[in-house]
Amino acid sequence: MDQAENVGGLPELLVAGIIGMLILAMAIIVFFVIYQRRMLTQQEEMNRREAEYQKELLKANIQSQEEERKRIASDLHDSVGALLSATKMYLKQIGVGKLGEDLGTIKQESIGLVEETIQNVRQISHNLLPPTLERFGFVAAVEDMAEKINQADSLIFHIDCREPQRFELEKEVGLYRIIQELSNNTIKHAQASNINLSIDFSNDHLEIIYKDDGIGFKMEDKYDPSSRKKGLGLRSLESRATSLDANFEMQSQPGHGLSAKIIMPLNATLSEVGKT
Amino acid sequence: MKTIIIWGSWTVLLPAIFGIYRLVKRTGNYEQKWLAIFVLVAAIIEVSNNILIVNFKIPNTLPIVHFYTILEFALIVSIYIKSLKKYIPKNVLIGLIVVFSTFSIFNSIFHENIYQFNTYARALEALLIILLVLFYFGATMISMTERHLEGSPIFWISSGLLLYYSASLFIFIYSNIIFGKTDSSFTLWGLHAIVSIIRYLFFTIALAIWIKPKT
Repeated sequence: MDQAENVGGLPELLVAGIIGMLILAMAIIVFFVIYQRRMLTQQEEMNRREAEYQKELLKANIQSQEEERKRIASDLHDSVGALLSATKMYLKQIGVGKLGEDLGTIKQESIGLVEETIQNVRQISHNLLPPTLERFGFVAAVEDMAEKINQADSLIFHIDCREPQRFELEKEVGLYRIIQELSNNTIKHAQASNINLSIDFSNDHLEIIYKDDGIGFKMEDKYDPSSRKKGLGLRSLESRATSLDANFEMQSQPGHGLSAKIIMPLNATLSEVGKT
Repeated sequence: MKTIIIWGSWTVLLPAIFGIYRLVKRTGNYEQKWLAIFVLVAAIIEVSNNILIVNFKIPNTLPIVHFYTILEFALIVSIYIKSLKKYIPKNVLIGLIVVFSTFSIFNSIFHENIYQFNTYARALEALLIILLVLFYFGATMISMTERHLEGSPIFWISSGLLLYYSASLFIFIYSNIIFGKTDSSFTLWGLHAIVSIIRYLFFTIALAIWIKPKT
């Protein structure tokens, strides 16, 4: 059979096939371009959100520092400042024709005021960095904090920790601040009866679970931009956790209390507490 | 249609001019350098082919196509070596060139006469290049490394190659049957010329894109 006869009808089919393939190739290119654009837009949006989130964290961090400074300033002004002013007034009376009996009283009053000032300075310093934290570590400091809260009889703070270990002081302070902030929030807002804190040291990380049985709250409210002020406490906790390279998760629902989980990698624990 | 067919073969001179500029000035990125070599080789082959037909009255220059197929495949694969090195090791792509060249030589010696179209080699070449381009598209979609596609030479190269080889695949397969057998073959070679023009226009864009030299 002649090859030319075999060709009968082939060119039309071929033309259709070629055009079909061309359309398919064009569709692939168009899909590729659209997909790439969409993915890039999504990526840019994610980067924008991440940058915004980092900005919020920074803002929360600065705000929490400012609040801490305000609190210290107010403590110094209201207690130490007032006591020192009173002491100054007593001391001014010395030598203005006072008799020996009066001088004795002034001396006693002044000593009393100075002692009270020393006590207040100690208290402020203790609040800034508890001596137990530096000397005996994070677990001991948290136990100390729990003991003080328990003394107030308004709620019970349980701590469960086996084989406590020490780690870098900077991280111990950071974690202590997080627990302090969480318990402050529970005491102030949660109307809770119990706080349960579980501290679990493993080979390479530390896992802390904090729970209270308070009234809880809607998590969305804390992240809602319109209630930014409310969310600052939470963002400040996240910011602290991030600075410790720790993972921080918090869950809460109205009526179901609050639960927070912190997982922090341990580069090198300094030693077991018992061995120090 | 005859005009389109003639234009189809001569359009290669347009990217070749940009290619010469790139090679002489030693500018452009890795892909542009290999593309410049490729279009220059294609232009030399095209000019030689026409000189042989017009000046030396050689009626059948298909042996050149057999030789050019190997060269074309090797140069196109070379364009992708750097972009795909994260996914396909350089040696695998070089191995692919060697395997294809061996197949093509065996095909030309033992299977298809060098005075006929090398349909098997051309069709295999088209399939492999389509797969390579699709692989590049897939890899780029996953890695998200190309932020501005329109400013990336390899995107234009890939699009030109995909359009040309997808449309030409059937022509390559049936080239011996349709060649000079029917009047409709003009339509087919006309279509081939159109996609060839598109390919070379895309290559021209790829070569014209200014890439800021790395300091």
